[in-house]
Amino acid sequence: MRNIWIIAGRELRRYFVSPVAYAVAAMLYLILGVIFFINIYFGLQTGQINPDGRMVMGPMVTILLFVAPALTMRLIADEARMGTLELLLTAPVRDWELVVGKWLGVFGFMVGVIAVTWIYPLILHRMTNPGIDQGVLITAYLGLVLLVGSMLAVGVFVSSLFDNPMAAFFTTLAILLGLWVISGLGSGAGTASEIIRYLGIVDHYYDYLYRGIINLPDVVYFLSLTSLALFLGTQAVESRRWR
Amino acid sequence: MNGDLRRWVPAAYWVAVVSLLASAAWYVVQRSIDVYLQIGIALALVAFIGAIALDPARVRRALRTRQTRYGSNMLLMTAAFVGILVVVNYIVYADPARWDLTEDQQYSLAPETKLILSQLQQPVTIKGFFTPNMAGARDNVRPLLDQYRIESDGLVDYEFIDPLENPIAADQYGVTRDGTLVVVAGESSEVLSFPNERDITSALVRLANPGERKVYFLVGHGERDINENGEAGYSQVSDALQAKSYSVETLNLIAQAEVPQDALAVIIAGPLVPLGQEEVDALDRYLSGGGSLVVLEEPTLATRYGDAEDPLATYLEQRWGLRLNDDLVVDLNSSLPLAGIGMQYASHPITERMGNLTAYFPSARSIEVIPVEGANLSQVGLVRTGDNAWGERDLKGFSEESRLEYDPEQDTQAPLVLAAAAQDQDSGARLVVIGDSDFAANGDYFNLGNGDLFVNSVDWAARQEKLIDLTPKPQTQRFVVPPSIRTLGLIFLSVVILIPGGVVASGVSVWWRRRRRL
Repeated sequence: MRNIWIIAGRELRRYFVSPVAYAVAAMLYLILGVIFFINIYFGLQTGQINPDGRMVMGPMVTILLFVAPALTMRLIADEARMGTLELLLTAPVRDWELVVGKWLGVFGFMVGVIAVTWIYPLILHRMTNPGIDQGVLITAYLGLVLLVGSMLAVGVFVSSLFDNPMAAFFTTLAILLGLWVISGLGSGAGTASEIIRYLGIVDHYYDYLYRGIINLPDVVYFLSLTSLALFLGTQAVESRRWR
Repeated sequence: MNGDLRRWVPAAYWVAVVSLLASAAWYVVQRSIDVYLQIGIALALVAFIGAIALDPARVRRALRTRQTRYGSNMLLMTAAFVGILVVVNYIVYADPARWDLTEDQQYSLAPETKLILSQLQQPVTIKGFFTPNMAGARDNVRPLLDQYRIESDGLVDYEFIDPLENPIAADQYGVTRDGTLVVVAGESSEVLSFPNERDITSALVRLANPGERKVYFLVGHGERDINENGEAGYSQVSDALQAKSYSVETLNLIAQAEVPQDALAVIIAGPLVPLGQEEVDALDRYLSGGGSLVVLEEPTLATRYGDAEDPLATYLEQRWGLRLNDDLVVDLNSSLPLAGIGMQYASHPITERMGNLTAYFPSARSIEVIPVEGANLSQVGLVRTGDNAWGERDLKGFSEESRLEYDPEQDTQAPLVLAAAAQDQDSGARLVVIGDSDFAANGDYFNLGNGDLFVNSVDWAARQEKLIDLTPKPQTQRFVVPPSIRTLGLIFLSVVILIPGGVVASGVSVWWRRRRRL
């Protein structure tokens, strides 16, 4: 267990010296800040500001779709490319500890990045009488954290398959986009449509958690996707020993 | 000989793979297991078995390698893991737990609904008929239906049916509109056009207390025929009422002196000749006992009234204060100049759910709501025209010379009332009067809000519009206090400049420090 924390801590520290992480965070805050300000500014002109704390969350989810692959692409692929993965594999670290530690590091970083965005609803809360609906905000953020966790896990898994970070980036993006649009195919009413709809990733966020309802199937879906991706990542790392 | 044949083994594997892929592609295109598909699969099998039989040693070698052993082990582990996840997800999905954290409990059912669900005796299925075009509406109603399922411990279940894929089911329940819910309990069912908590719960109450709900259509004066399928017939009306579990009958007050006791409402749909005084007296007795009446009267131009007296119109005016004007509603500015177009709805149970669905009345007469002394009535003008309409009173000039001219002295002035409702507060009797009967005929029933207006009118008259009062949910009113220019500047500074800028600055400082260290 200790190994996980050591690896996670090391990864987390690496983000704080990595230009990619700063660029990603700065871009995210700039886009969200502009969207938030435009909403307030034009809302003032029309006299209609919607007291909804989730003003920036829709765009944030879309941006995270691209951010997650960018942050995870080099996690394992880079180690493999530089040859340091060999060292890690011979060190007294279990494969799953390596994978989970890497994921936990990037997850911790993203949770930190997302936590800062709480400032937008906080500003809105100060301006609203008698305040915005906190319950909706809590479930929306909880859902966001679960969603990001599973997206990053997919990224870690894909990164473990490749020796080239760019290949990992595009493959992760393709898988996430696939999960994003697949629910569109399940617009019918039969069992097959229901299963396809269940596989789609964003509906699990927008249908309930985004509206202020904690829906157990959605939570279980995100946790399942996360654990499946981490399990597959572990298998992929392990397979490097005998491939 | 064997060695010669062995050269073909790789080719045989390829043939197996290619024909298997081709078969799959064929199936995707054809969507049926036809003879070509069978040939393809058979070829793949033969090639595969043949390849193994020709060179079994190769297979044995492949199976013994380290990769195969580890690989199959990994595959097995992965399959087991996926299996566990599928089972867990299925269990949770089949019986979902849910917590509504919104401040106003927006997605929770009213206590009355919960009470009714706890008293439910038999399983109920709610079938939602939605085409893929209405996927948005379907997703909106899903949380509500989930709530019914959870609160009833699974006694209420729901399913969605695509009426394009399964038109037979849609026909079976008399579904004619996309986005309709059908509540089914045992043999009986009820169609709901408006999927909301009040209507669903009301339907549950009705289905739990089955009893014949009879409405009668008056016959004998050339009224609309509920069995006629033509444009002018009322078969759609009859079907729609039966889908709402009414039983629809006809009533002849010439043959029968009294309105039957079990009549929830009597409907008089466009008589061509006036009713007799005895019939009107029978209706009066029925109404005095708390009965309900829906009257649809055409302009005299479209009837065979001539100059004959209309005892029903006199009765409605004197007793209920709803005067049927002898005119024709005209609006030369509209695309349907000879139709009354409902531009404005009053706040009333009949019209409150019409939303922005307009109702229009081809060849209509206007109604005047006048106070009646000594009667404890509440009267409402339900549907009004726009300001450009008028009630043409020179019907002779119109029918003989097609002359339509607004004469402020003679004609009825806008806005005109096209439909009105009245309730006697003492006896509880209810009355709806509409100055047209074409609007609900088969030809126009599905146009805009026409059918809804008719069905809502009958629902209200028959006292089925609101079997239950749901506790209104508190809605916290939130408003944003507009920030001052200074606050706005502060917001801009912090969210657009400071936060992203701070991240960039700390990035640069880290980079600078690391560079110096090197």
